[in-house]
Amino acid sequence: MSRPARPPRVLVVGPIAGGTLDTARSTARGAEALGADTRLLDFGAFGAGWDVITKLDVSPDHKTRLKADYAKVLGEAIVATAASWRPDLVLALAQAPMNASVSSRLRAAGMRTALWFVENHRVLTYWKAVAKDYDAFFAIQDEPFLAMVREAGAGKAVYLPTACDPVRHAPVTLSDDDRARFGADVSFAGAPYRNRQRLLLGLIDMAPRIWGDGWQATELARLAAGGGARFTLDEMVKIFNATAVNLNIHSANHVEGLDPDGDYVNPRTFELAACGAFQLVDARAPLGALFAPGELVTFTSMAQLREQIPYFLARPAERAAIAARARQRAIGEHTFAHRVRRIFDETLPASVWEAGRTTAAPAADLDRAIDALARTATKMSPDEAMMRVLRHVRDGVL
Amino acid sequence: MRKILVVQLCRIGDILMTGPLLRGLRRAHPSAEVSLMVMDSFAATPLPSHLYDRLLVFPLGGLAGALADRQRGWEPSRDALRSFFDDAGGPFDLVVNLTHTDMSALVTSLVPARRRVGLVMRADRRLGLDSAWMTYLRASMRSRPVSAFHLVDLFAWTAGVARDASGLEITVTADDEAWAASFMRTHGLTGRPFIALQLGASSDAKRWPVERFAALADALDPSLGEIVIIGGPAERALADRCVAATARRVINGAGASTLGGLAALLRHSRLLVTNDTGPMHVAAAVGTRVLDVSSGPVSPHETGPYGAGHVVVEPVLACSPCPLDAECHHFACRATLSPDEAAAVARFAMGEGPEPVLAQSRLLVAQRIAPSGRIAFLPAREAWTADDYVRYASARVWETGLDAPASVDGGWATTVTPPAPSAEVMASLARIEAVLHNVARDAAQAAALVKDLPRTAPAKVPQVAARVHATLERLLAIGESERAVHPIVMFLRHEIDSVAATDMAGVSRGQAAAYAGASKRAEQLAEALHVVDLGRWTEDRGPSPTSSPDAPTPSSLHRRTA
Repeated sequence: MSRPARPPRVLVVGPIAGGTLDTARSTARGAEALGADTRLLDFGAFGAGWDVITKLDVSPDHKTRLKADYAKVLGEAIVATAASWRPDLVLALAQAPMNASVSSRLRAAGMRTALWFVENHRVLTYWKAVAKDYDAFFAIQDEPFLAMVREAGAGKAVYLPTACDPVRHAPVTLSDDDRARFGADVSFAGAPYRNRQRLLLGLIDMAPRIWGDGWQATELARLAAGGGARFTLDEMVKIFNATAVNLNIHSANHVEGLDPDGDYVNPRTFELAACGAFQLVDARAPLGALFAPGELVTFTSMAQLREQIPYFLARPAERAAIAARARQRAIGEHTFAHRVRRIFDETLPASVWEAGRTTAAPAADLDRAIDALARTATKMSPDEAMMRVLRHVRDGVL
Repeated sequence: MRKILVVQLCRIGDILMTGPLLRGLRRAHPSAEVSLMVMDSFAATPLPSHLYDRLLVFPLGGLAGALADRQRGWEPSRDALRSFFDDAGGPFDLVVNLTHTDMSALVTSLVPARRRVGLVMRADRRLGLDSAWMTYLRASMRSRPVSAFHLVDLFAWTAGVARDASGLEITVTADDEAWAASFMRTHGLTGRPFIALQLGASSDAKRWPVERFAALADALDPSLGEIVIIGGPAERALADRCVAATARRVINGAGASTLGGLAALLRHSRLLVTNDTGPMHVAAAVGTRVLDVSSGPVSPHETGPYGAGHVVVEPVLACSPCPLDAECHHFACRATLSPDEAAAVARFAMGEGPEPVLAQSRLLVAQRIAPSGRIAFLPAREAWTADDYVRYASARVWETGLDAPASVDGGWATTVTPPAPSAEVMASLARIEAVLHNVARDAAQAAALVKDLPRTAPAKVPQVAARVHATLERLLAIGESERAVHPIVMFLRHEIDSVAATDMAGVSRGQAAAYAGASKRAEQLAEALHVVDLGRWTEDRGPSPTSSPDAPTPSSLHRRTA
């Protein structure tokens, strides 16, 4: 088969707000790393407007109509961009403002559409209504959910776990100030779901530092770090790096403790691994296929967790070895570039994308990685500075 | 304990030229831990270990090799780089970046530090200088015919340390001495004088032709000494050509020694005739007289052999020295010094002959100048050119304006009175003086406009800003056409670019100060050149170590009042 004449053209559409915003940006970087001509519709700036509407003192019906009209504007922006640029694929992330009208108009114009649903289908149920709008539906939960998606009308349904972004999730050099501000023996970073609150209460004697918005209103308020404020992505990476034992607890509002039906792996697992940070993660069935033995330490009960924490606090070398193996796995197999490759394999025709295109690992191109960071980050991070040093070394411009 | 890091990511010569700065740091901060960062390829430079406490070796070779393996990707190299910075031993109280490259700016930004001086890459991806002297260096890069300061002095002042009477230093071990003794024994040089030749250079543009070196060897009377060719292994082929082209015995020592061995050998040499090279600095470091044949993109005033009495021959050509990035196809500068002239200069440098008159070149002699102890390469007896006057006067203006510290244990440096200029030079200086007065006036007007911006009616701000911008453009254009002005306006531009304030008042203050500074420097330089023009010197007679009784007497440079 001859090589495609041009790179695939991909339009990535993100949500207005929420954690999936960063996921959309990382997805775009992953596409660029594969050589795709990529554009990202980053609607993050519209999140403030959405908040204003949400807080308006109007009737619920009015509010619903206002939100729908607001989303319609963004939908038109998607259609207009696609009409002008003619992407081969419009890849939406969960909660992107793409309704049925938008996707049908895109498909009518000959563009492929895909949705990467990076949510728990039991919590966000709108997937039922939108599945049919997409040629391909990618989900972080495997069967039987995929069968349900196909039943709901999606062209195809594919299991695709979340990932890490090596450009943003990486070991970092910490200053003395960073260590003082973010350092801890034990930390947890995330939202105060009920099951997490219960579990962390069971560790209160170990005084873990707890990061995230909302903890100050819980029984764990005195352990809330940073005044209970939101943390940025950069701060999260520093928290991971500055903590000896990171607790990774999958969220669940329907149970008090560990979720026995855990059929997906959260992004945090890959992010911690990519940062080279040691984690204790609640056991989830899909982990066995994603990480090999010795790369992650899981727990299935509070009792087990209470034993693991002091054990690993006392063994820094063992922690470092496990974290290093996890990082190697994450960078080698679980980056956004790996995931986007799968999306391309499943959605793009051979005329624009050779399926199974091989490199041992889709190593992110240095120039594109730097450009992506320069576009998305107003300030140059140490990682970006190091990448720029490497570019000078590579080019012999010393 | 105070921790200081000096970043020097250039070549052997630059590392050796960093020695006086390190010595100054030891003097100024006796209890500080001083670290030096160098490239791995030059980590073996025998800089004396008493000058620093820790050597950080930047792993350029390892990174380049890893990046060449495309299968591995760049992430492992980034991890290796991260480990390097983690192990650097920071945070440092002060990091001084002497390297003027974008890569060194990035490296400097990555070293944990409380204060950084020299080129730094800021978080907004803009280059910052954070050092008046490094700003000057950057500003003067394209006005090199009038560059006023040697890098050794600039390096020291960047770190805020004064110059002392000593020059460069290099380690010579007992093994090095033993090697040199063996080499001299083998070649019958023990107890006999010899002259060393360094044929190679880092680029062809800097290299005096090998055939001329060969003719020089033949032109030097054997009674003056044997001829020994030195150099690295890559220069053996050049050395072989030279040996084949000479009629007399020439000893080929290229590739025979380490740097330390070379230093030990050069100690015994009467003279080193060389291009602008690392061995040139090695010879200066061991106190051997140097004859530097300067050509190509080299300004001896910036990088010449450091120490009083060394001799430089520079071409008299409109294009010399050429810019660092120039593409030249004629290399006329390499042909300006004939072998016979070079032989005459060599005899002069060894005290065996009079100062020769050169047809297309100039002979300069190094002197250490008060009050800062900086080095200057000045014509011994020849008339000064307009560039010489501009360079000398500029040095005084910048030394004063940027507070160059007075030399340590002053008294060993000389003061120099520029000789009365010729009518032609006076006319040039008068023209330059007029241009400087215009620059001073325009810059002062811009300073006043900018200073008043916070009080300007909002509707008029764009108009005023446009006028100021037009003034800057005009000043930059003047700087392009008049090189005496160039460092002043480029310094102004770098200062304006470095204003970090984002509020109107802060920007106004920063830019007004920059324009006012430019105006003052232009006025001071004009005044200094006017003194020359009118020949109004006050003369304080005194001894000058390098001048004969007939040479101009030392004096301070200031205007005699009417």
